[in-house]
Amino acid sequence: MYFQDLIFNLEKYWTDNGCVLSQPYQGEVGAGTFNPATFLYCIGKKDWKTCYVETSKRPKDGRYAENPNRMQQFTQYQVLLKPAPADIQQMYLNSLKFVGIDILKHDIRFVEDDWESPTLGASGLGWEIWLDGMEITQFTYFQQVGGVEMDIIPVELTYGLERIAMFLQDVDSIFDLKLQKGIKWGDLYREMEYEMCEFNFNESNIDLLFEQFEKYVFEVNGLLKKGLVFPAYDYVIKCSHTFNLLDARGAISPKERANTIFRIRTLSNKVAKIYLEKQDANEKK
Amino acid sequence: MKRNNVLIELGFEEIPSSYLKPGIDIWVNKLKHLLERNGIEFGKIEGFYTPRRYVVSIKNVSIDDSEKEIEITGPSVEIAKKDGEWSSSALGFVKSQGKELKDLYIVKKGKREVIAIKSIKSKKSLNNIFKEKIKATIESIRFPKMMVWEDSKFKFARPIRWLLVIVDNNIVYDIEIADISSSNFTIGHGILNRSKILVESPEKYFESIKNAYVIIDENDRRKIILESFNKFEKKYNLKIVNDSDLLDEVVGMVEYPVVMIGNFHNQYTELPDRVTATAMKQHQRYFHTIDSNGDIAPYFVVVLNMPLNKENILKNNETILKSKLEDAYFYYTEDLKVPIESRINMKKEIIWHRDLGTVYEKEMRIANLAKILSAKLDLGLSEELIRQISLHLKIDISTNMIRDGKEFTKLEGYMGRIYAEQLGINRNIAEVIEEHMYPRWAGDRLPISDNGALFAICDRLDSLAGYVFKYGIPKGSKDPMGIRRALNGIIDITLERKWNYDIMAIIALAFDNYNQSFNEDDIYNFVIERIKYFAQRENTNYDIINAVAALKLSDIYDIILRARVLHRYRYSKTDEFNDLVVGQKRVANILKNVKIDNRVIIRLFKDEQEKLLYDKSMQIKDEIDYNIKMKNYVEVLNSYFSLRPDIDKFFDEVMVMVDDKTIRGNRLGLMKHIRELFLIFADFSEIIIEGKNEISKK
Repeated sequence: MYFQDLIFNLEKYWTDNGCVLSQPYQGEVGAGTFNPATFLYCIGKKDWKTCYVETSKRPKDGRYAENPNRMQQFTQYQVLLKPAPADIQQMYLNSLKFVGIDILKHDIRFVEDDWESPTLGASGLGWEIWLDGMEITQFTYFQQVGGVEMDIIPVELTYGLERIAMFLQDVDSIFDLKLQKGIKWGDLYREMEYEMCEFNFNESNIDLLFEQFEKYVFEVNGLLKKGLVFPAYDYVIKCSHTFNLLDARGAISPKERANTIFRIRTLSNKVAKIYLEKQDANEKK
Repeated sequence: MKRNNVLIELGFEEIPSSYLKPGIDIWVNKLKHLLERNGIEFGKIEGFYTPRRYVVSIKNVSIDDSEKEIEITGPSVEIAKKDGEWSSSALGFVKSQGKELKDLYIVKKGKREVIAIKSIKSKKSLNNIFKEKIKATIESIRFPKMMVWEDSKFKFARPIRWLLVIVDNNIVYDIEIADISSSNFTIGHGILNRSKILVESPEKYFESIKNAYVIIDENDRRKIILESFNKFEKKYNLKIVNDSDLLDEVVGMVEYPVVMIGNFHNQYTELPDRVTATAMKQHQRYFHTIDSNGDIAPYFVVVLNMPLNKENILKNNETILKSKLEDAYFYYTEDLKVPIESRINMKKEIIWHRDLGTVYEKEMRIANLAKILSAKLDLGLSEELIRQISLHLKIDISTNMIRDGKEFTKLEGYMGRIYAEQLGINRNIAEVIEEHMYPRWAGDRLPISDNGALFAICDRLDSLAGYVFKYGIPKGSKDPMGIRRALNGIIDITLERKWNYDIMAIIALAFDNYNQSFNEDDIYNFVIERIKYFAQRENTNYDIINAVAALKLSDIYDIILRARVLHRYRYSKTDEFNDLVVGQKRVANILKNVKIDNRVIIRLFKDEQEKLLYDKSMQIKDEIDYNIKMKNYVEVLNSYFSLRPDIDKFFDEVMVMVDDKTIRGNRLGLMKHIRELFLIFADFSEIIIEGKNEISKK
């Protein structure tokens, strides 16, 4: 089983269950939730089912390719079902079986996790799913997104693909993860991980980042005044990544961190609110 | 009358462990009340829980469905009869009961005569009571966080998926709740047995559920876990650190506990103890172990929810823990490579708050405050020591361990001390680095040393001033920057240390550090509001604090000391205390809206009692002054009590507002003199006399 087979299997499983196959976001995001296919499309009254791969970048999590489990970039498989089906736990367990995990031979646990994306103003209740003590999926019933209370409750499943694949291939290090015959994860990404860590931790330009951050904030507000939700949202995502870079660089204290998160959340909330208003207006037409 | 057993099971998706016990307790109580309200007798009632179900078993429920004749009464005879005939009200009454006028008769109800009829009613069956009322009992279960998941927007901790109600051998169907209705099945273990198991009776239920890998009684699960702990401790000659919070949590995380012991490489025991323990406990919920020397041993204990293929599962858990410890090890070794000078320089780069400067600048402001406060408290710290402590106070803020953003971040302060010691910083300084972080939350431990307490207070005062200048004083329930918490911490530490100092003066300095002015009244009121919050925990009411705060005292410890004495007398000598307060209210009322510049002139006294009151007050004035100075507040109150009969007598015998301007002026002067005598200690007129409907502002 290669890494990509895991993706094929999940894609097959969830599209067979009625999901639209969406595409990864074209810029840097910290999680699949940021993709407009989740953040924006789960707002409003329409039913929506989607699944997609998302490359998630979390600058602070990099370890210069020295830690077999932590990287500044990893792959998520994102599933969003709105409304949440009553048998969603069973559907999820079936998906694990479908990708080759014998759930009767492992300790699979639904462990309390009140998920929250502070920058997106999104929160929900659910679990992180453990497979023999390893967190493999985030399972969340959204209650609020962009500060908007959900009218129809969506459920979000976020699989950590590398971890699941390492488990299936029985390898202890991500660098040994087999991507295709003769090609391992380490062959492709070791150098990149190292360089990105150099950038994230040491070389990114703090002054430039601060400057960019303020300009992005300005841009979001300007675009929203013109009612341009999608481009405004693109800039919210840029704010978020810029903040992550500053955070990795150690340029902000824990308290200032909370403060900056609050600023980004305020922007996300504005985007969501205006998006919802436009949805409601369209419905009335 | 039949006696039956009842079984109710509410099935849901995994509810957080800490919610389970409080929730089932509420439910059992509500069900008890439901039965009692409906006059149903029952024997033992018990609640059980697992992460996926609540189970209530009620034994020997008496079900009486026999028919009974009952009397129903209506309006009084005056209304029911008009000119000897039944009125329209009487007709309405019989119709509403499905009877005719000929069935009516008159009975005595208390002192009145009312009309009545006899009616045959069968008691409501238990099934019907459950059908109508079970939903309400479930609705009344509250959790710290609740969610909605379907169209009816029913609120619960996690989605409800099934409901099973068995009365004797009958299933009660069609009780609707959220998007499900009660039926005839249960579901077993969340992974091993997810298909429906049909149940016919309470007895069969207990049998089936056990076979489906569910141990419903938490005590049984706890016993299994503790027995395994015992076994492992003997076998490996270790002590498993039985953290009771963790044990409670784990008991609520599994339906079928299986305990295993695993190990990790010795190298990780070199990490600071709390780092290793945190890596095990915080996320993984593993128990850590110690050897006979009390040092962390390279073993961990895990409670699984799966009885099959255990060895394989253990190996996987070991791999996970290794990666967690590896991460901590990476942080730790990397952090120790950075020399102390670089740590100081890094703080000059790290912004504490966007508009309030860097972490280094914060440390320097803290140093300013610490210098002044330690001098006021006479703590004997040299300026050089204060400078040294301040320079390293936030040493860990730039470290990988603290910037982790997850479980290790919570070790801020502790890691600062460890790193400081490792880098050769004096132990006295290192200790303050840890201590100044406490308390991190309400009820957390407080600093154990004077120096720790000093810096804990100064750090919080600096944050308070900065945030207030930036965001204003928090209003309503919102306090995102934790300003209230900072002040609560200052109050807790101050009282625990028994430190007397003028907090307003130090706050003024804290604002000075930012070159900012501030509104003294607003800040004072905010401080008093937090003192009231503290006092409430000692059961002292807010009006007592108002009475003391009216003097604009700004010594927190002194305010509380005075309040404690007032509070004690309020309950030990209630009558005298209330009289004293009433007297002072009268004094204060008389003085309201009058301008007095008169001094008391003894020769103008016309009445025996006014002279007596004055003489007595002059006798005790010196001892009050002395006892205030010595903070012998009990003695101060005793002095006031000794004056009370003369005050009461004065009001009984002497009229203050007489026509004669001179005498009136002199008497008002006496009132002012008495009021000032009391105002040395507190404004008694602010105290509310309980039970007399006094209204006072908060």
